[in-house]
Parts: sequence; structure tokens; C-alpha cells
Amino acid sequence: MSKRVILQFPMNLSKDPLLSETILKTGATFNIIKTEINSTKAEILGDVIASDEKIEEFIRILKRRGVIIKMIDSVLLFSRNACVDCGLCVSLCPTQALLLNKDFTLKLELDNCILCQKCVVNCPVRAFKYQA
Amino acid sequence: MKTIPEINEKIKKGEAVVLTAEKMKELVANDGVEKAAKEVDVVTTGIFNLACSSGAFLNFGHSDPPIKFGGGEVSLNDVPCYAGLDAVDTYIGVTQVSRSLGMEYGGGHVLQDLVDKKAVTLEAHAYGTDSHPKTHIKTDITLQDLNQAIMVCPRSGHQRYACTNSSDATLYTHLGALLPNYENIIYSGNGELSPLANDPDFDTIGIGTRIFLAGAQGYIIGEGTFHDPKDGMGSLMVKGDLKKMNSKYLRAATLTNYGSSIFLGIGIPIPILNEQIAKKTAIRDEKITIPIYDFSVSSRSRPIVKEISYAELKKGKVAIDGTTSKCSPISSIPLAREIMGELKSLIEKGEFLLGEPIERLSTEKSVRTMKHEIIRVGKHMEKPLLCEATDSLKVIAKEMISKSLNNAIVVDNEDNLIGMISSLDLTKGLLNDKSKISEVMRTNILTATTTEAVETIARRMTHHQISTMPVLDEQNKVVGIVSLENLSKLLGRHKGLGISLQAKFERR
Ligand code: SF4
Ligand code: SF4
Repeated sequence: MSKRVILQFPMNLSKDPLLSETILKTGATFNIIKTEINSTKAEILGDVIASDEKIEEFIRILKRRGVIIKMIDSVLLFSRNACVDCGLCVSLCPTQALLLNKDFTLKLELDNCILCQKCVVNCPVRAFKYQA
Repeated sequence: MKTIPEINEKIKKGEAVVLTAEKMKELVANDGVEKAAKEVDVVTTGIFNLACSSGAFLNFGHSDPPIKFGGGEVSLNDVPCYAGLDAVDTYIGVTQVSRSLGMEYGGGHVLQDLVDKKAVTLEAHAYGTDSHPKTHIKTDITLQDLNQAIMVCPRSGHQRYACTNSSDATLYTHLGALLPNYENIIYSGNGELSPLANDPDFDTIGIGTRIFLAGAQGYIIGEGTFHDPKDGMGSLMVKGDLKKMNSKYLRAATLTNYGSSIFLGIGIPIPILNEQIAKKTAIRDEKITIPIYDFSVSSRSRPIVKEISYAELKKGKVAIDGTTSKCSPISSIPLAREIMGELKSLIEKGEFLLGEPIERLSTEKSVRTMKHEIIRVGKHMEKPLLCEATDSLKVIAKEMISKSLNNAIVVDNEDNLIGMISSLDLTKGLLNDKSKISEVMRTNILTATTTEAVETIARRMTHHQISTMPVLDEQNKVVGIVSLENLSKLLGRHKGLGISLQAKFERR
């Protein structure tokens, strides 16, 4: 199982040891997608990969230590009906998340998405929605 | 040799042989032109492109008591419409933007809402006359309630160029966002599928040609605006009944930070009357080359970075100056294919007959640019205070104060640009006990040249959030300085309009 989460570390918590401790304790894998650090907090977006119980334990431990956790079910919503396969988003995507099939229809590989929102902002028919 | 009436007879009997442009190319490649010309009656071509020049004429019927829009104000869903027609007619253009939502909702969105059978709010203010006393109306209407809804696209089928951006900032254009440093290329048109690639000399396409326009049957009513056949940029003016259109092929669009528009699907049947026509429909992407323009130069004479074929663009990656650029079409190839397929099946079923052109389109014309005077920076710059890197801070500070200037430009003894220094840099330098200009000046300065247009420079300054720029002449010597403040005054309210649209978008 894999669960996408945003971990918010208040500045008084040092994020790195806390995260690695929890990973060690639960045996879960944590794939970091994006990190954002500013003066008030550090935020990490990533996927927790483990069994359901282990994911729960991972979340429980971090919560107890004061980390704010937001669960994300789907962050990038795509409407196939709205999309006209114009291909514009493909060259704007900084990763390999948006590609064209041989027949020039849009191909989504959202595992590669880093949530930069370039497609959300620029799609002419607004086929993408970002859900924070 | 065949004639259009002969082909129409075959279509009526369900005997016409119709191929999509792609299948025709295969047939010619495999069996030769002669055989293809004999066997095939019609080739269908298609394109699904942005059609920014389009709009629709709408007639609402008379109110009771009557109202006269003409001379007043008309809007649909808060998108202003033209109020210079008669009593209850209006024209709505797809690039007009909503007064409340800005470019997120424009004329194209109104047209798509109508086609999707949604209710749209009509509001009009009139001055009132004896015969037309009503002065205000606000009512919800649907496409069904209109007497006529005639879509007109004065320029279509013409797009065939690509663009990229060599600058270090993202540019928002009529073809979409261009990332910095050649990161992407966006190309318009779809190459070998498009009508004008298959009939480049207008052998069969002319006034009266019946076409597939966004699901309805429409017509070519003349040459398009900007018709430039000599340069391979011929264009068509088309019309069709909005009431019969399908929003699968008519989609409202917003080009972020540029404006609202519409995607429009057009299919044109090409009757294969003889071998020459058959041969032209065999054209392949490899043989259709288009220019890639650098849009970072915002002058009409944009430099061409490269000439390239659609075949290469469609591979998805192109090398420019050692960097690999990702390519995006903006014209939907899958929808062009659907249009060709749908048109083919309509003809095969006898539901779509060919129109015989009553007049040919010009193959001679070329395009003029707008007659106006370019406002060049050279005429609107000021005299700069020049200094050298070795000059003393104190001396220059005194001079700036006495002349009440905020900036000085640092040059060498031949007036080549070295750097710039502002009153803030000076103050900081003096507070930190610096003594020479070279210790506090900023290098890496963005510049303008005397021949550039003031609008271009004002945008560049806004983009980079800088308030002044040195101006260089053709020999790269510093000859002046411009400030955003002065340029903005010069450009007046037009500048303000652009900014307010952008702000609206960013707030959303
Ligand atoms: S930009 Fe929008 S419409 Fe175009 S291919 Fe991407 S998702 Fe589809
Ligand atoms: S959000 Fe960014 S990374 Fe994700 S699909 Fe869109 S453009 Fe690609």
C-alpha cells in the first residue's frame, strides 16, 4: 500500500532525525516528492509505502511527536472529458509525468508528478485541478 | 478527370470512394498517383486549432415593448458584446473577456455554454426611442431561443509556425507558455492533415466550398483576413450555424496570462478531380517546413531560430543551440483525425455533398503591417549621469544630489557599459566606508537599445522588476537612460489595462 501525505514540521522540531527514526521503527519506505522549507515550517510531500498497519503506525508516531500530517487522496485531478489533447502541457511538465502516446493523445504518468502545477495553470481548457 | 457534380452523383448513390488524408498518403505511396487519382473521389482533411478571430452574430427577436441595442451596451454572461448593429442583433467575439472574471471566462466560453444548451444571461442598456422605448433588459436565454446564431471565423486554417523563447523568463503568448532558455517549443497547425497543406494552391477550395465546421455544415465565404498565399500562409473565412454545432469540436480556451479564445474543429473535403490534385494530397510532414520564431524579441520582425519540418516537431524533441527543447503541438492531432473520420463517414452516407466553388481565392496576395509610427526608446530616453569605476563615491554622490538623480551609469573611457549605481547603493557604500564606485556598483545590467519600442522595454522592466535601464546605441555605447515611470506615463492607460487583467488572474 502507498499513501501520499504532506508532513509539516514546526520549526522547533528537527525534521531529519525524526523522519528517519520513524522510518527505522516502522520499516516503512518514504519517497520524498517535494520539500519546501521557509522560516516558520518545513513541509515534505511524499508517499509512505508499507502495509496498512505500518502506514498507520508511521502516521501515529509522527503525530505524537508534534508533526502535522495532511493526508492526500488525489492531489492532481484530471478530467479526460475536458482535455482536447492539444499537447500544450506536455512540454511544460518538468518531469516525465505528461507525455504523448504514439497517436498524440495525452499520456499521464502521475507517479512522476512533482506537483509543480504548471499543467494546472496553463492547460487552456483547465483540465487539471489541484487539490491541496 | 472528374467533376464535382459527377462526384456528388456518386455520393448520393453511396458509391463515392472517400479516404482520410492519412490513408490517401499511404495509397499514393503504395500504388502511385495515377491509380489513387482514378480510384479516390474525395480526401478529407481536418484541423483543430485555436481560432482567436472567431465570433458569432446572434439575433434575439424583439422584446415587448421593443428595445434597440444599437448605440447602447450589450453583454452575455457579463462578457461585453458589440452594440453597433441593429435593434436586437449583436456580435460576440471569442477573445472578449468577462468584466467580472477576466480572461478565465470570455466570448468563447459564452459560445460553448450556448452550444452546450446552458442558459446565458443577456443584459442590455439602451437609450430608448419612440419606436423602441425599452431601455433595459436582463433575461436568461438559451441557443434555442435565438432566431439566428451564426458563427463566423474570418481567419482559419492558416496557422503554420512554431515559437520558442531564448530569454530567461517565462513568456505567456497566444500559443501558450514559453519556458525560458529554449526549454520548450510550441507549434501551431498539424502539418499533413490540415486542409491548406493538402490544397496549397486553392485548386478546389474556394468561395462556396462546403465544410465541416465544429459538427455543423458550414461554408467558405471568402479569403481569410491576413490571407498570405504567397508566403504559404493562406487563410479562409468560414461560417456555420452555431445551433448545429457540437462542443466536442468547439471548446472555450484560456491562454493563461494572455487571454480567452476558442478551439475550433474544421474539416474540408478535397475532391480528387485529377492527378495534380491527387499528388498534392500526398504531401508528408517531412516536406512541410515551418519557422520557429524566438518570441523573446517582442517586435514584429522576430528572429527565426530554425526552419523545421512537422515530422521533426512531432518527434517531441528538437535541439536548439545545444539544448534539447520539448515540443508541444497546440493543435489537437487526435481531434483532427476524428474530424477527418466523421467527415468521411458523412460523405459515405450521402449526408454531405460537395459544394462547387463559385469563385477561386487569390493565390497572389501578401500581407501588409499596420501603418503607424513605432515609438522608439531613443526618442524617449533621458541624459544619464555617467561615471567611471575608479571615481570617488563622494564626488558622484554630490553630483547625484545636486542634479536630483537616482541613478548613475558606470562606463569605461569609450562609453561601454560597465555597471550601474543607484542612490541606495551609494548610501550603503558610504555607510560601509567604501570609497570607489567599483566597490558598490552592480554589474550584469539589463539594457535597452535606441531602436526598440517603448512597449517592449516597459514590459521587460516590469518583468524583471527594475525601474531604470541604460540605453545603448547600435555600437553598444551608452547613450541614455529610461525609467519605467516615464514610459508608463507615455503609454498611459493601455498599460494599466494589461496589468489589471493579469492581477485578476493571479487572484483567482
Ligand atoms: S494542456 Fe490540457 S487539453 Fe491540452 S493536452 Fe494537456 S490536459 Fe489536455
Ligand atoms: S503538476 Fe507539474 S509535474 Fe505534475 S503533471 Fe503537472 S506539470 Fe507535470
